Amino acid sequence: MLFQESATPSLWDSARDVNLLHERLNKLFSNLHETKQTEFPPINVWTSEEKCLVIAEVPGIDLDNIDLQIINNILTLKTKREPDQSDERKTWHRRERGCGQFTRSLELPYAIDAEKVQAVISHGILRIELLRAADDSPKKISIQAS
Amino acid sequence: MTSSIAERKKEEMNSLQGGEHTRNKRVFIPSADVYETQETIFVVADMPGVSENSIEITLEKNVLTIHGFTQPQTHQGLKLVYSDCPEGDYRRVFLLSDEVDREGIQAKMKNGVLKLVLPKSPTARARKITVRAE
Repeated sequence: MLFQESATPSLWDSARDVNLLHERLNKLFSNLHETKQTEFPPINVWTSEEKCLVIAEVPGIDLDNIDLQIINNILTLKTKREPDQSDERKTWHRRERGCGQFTRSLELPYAIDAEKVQAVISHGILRIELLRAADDSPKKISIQAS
Repeated sequence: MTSSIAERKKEEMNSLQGGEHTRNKRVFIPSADVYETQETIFVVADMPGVSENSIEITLEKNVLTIHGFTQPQTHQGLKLVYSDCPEGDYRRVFLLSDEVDREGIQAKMKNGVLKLVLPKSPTARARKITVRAE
């Protein structure tokens, strides 16, 4: 979108537009930087034509605090990390682990068979296996010579 | 930062000081919380993918090293299309002061989170002195 616009000569007519472009570019790059640091949980996505494997790092999160939802081809992952509940007075030296509620959605490359989703959690790693819906699979059409 | 637990900063894994790595794997510094109460110092570190059997905790003199190993991820027939979390091991080094009771150190692993309990030796505990009216 951005590049399409910038390719149009009329955009360069005023300084205002150049500024706008500048702003957008800055935003684009700063966002890139930010998402790397703040997106939680971090995920890896593996795909093939038939299935999708989403692996999320969710250390310290109990099974009850993970909520998975699939609507068409959008997978939404909601997690909650509880803060330490003890009332004891403590002095903090390092606080690098975040807590709170986190939501992350991702668009999968195809529609998913919601009945066949398998999710397993072990040692703080959540593994979600998603199979492509049967009616979404590409069908080969044979061509007959006449 | 008190003197009780100081972390060795920015440990370079491939520097000579940290030892050259023989495994062809990346090593990450796990994010950790460090806090202390009157009697104990706690270290909580996120190490997803590390189980109680794949972690090594060593204490040599006053250097406490935690080293967690993960299994490589390979999925037959699948292609990695997006990655936030590259695979690798975890390693972090802490320096302990004499305040810590070495014999009483405990480590627990749950859901990929390591919790180290470092009790303070009785002599180091802050004592409350009650003042009586005369």
